[in-house]
Formats: sequence, structure tokens, C-alpha cells
Amino acid sequence: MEETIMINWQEVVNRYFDGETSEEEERLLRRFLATEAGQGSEFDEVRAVMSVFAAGKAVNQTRHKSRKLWPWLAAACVAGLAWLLWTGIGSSQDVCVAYVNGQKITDRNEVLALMQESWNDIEMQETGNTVEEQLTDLFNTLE
Amino acid sequence: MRRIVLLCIIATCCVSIVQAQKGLSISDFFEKPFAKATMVHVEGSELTPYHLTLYRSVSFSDTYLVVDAMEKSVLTDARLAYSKEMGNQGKRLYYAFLALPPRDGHHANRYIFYRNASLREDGKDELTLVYMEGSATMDELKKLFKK
Repeated sequence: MEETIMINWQEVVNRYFDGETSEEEERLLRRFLATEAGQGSEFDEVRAVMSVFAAGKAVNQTRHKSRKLWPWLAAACVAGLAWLLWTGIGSSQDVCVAYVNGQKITDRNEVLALMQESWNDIEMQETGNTVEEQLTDLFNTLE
Repeated sequence: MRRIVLLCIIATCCVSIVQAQKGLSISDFFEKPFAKATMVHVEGSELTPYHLTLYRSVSFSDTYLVVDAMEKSVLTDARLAYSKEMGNQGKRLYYAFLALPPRDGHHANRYIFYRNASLREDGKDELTLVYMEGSATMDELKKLFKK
């Protein structure tokens, strides 16, 4: 029984070297070569060849995957850059809102009234008695 | 092709970094509404007649809660100003009118206005901070909202 199995695998190996095996047969052959029965020296050559091909396939898959990824990465970067430039330029948006003690106010007239009130509080015309007092003191001293 | 993509990635990162640094120290006071404050945010067409694009203000009635932090922020941003008018009452900052250069890649002037009304003898307990952007000049702002 065992002999029959070995002969069968040898036949598969021969067909492998002739390029006549299917992918499924090659997969099964790889599995066999990993078992104890497949450790014989008669399988060293096929094991070596299949290892080389397996390594080459892995490298190609990695290259293929990264080759697929680069265009998407480039597109994402360009899209991100375009968005950042657009927001930087400042797409016009109308905002008119106020909060009084945490309460949101969206009535346009109320908000604008609060805006005017806050600006009045700045009292830009009034630069402070401190300046006037200092100037007065300065001129008084000069006199 | 890879070099172009790498350049795109680097450019995107650089722009992101620049955008992140555009904030001023006072921006902390406009992040979210406060429980005891009045905040105003107006942007866009409402401000066009005043040659402004952005108006933000926050007024606190309990000044002792925020005066230290707000003063510090205003003084930090004052270092960036190309024009400033400031006054003290004792050791406290009484008012500040600051004109800052535009943000990178923008043309709009930036202004910071600060007033601590509680320092006046007859003044109410109020602290006001205003931030504006626009093409208006300081002279135009002095006449702002006057009919």
C-alpha cells in the first residue's frame, strides 16, 4: 500500500517536471512534500524547485499588491491636498449665531444686536482715562 | 511614479502642519460656548457692508474667573501684531487693540480687541474679547456699526 503511494507521487513529480500537473495536483504535491513520507531524498529535487517557485510567487504577489495600492494612495493624497487648499482659501459660508449663558440664539436680528453690543463694549473711541491723565500730567510738568 | 506619490504625501503633510498652526492663543475662548458668557459668531454676507468676513466675540460678566487667562492670551498674540494700542490700569491690562498680519495664504487682516471694563471705577464687571477678519482698516473699524 505504501509502495503504491510512493510510486503515485513519483508519477506526479514526473508530470510536474513535464509541466503537465494541474494547480490542484501541485498543491497536493506540496502538502505531500511537507509530510514525513515526502522527506525522502528522491523528492529533494522537486522540493527545491517548488520552494524556489513558491518564493518567486510570493515576491510577485507583494509587488503586485503594492503596485495596486500606489494609485489609490496618490489619488487620496491629491484629494486631501485639494480639500485642504479649498478650506484654506475659505469657501464662503454664512454664519449668524450667538450663545447667551449657553443658550443658542439664531434669530438674525438678535444676533446682530448682540454683535453691536459687544463691539460697543470695546469702546474703541475711548482709549482710557489712563492715557489722557498721563498726557495731562506730562504737559503740566512741562509747563 | 513612486517619487511623485511620495512628493504628494509630503506636500499634504506640510499643508496640514501649516493649517494646524494658524490658530491664535485667544482661539481657546471661541472653542465652545461658556455657561456664563455671551458669544457671537457672524461670518459671511452679513459682514460685507463693513468690509469684514468674520466677527467673533465673547463677553464674561464674572471677570475674575477668566481675566488671568484672557490677559495672558491677548499678550501672547500681541507679539504677532504689527500695530498695537494697549493700556494698563495698575498691573492689569485695561484695553488692547491689535492688528495682526493675515494668515498664510490669505489676504484678510486680523484684529483682536480686548477691554476689561471692570477696571473702571464706574465700570461694569465685564470682560470683552473681539476677533475680526476682513479688509477693513482700523479707522473704518472705529466707525463700525455707527449709522
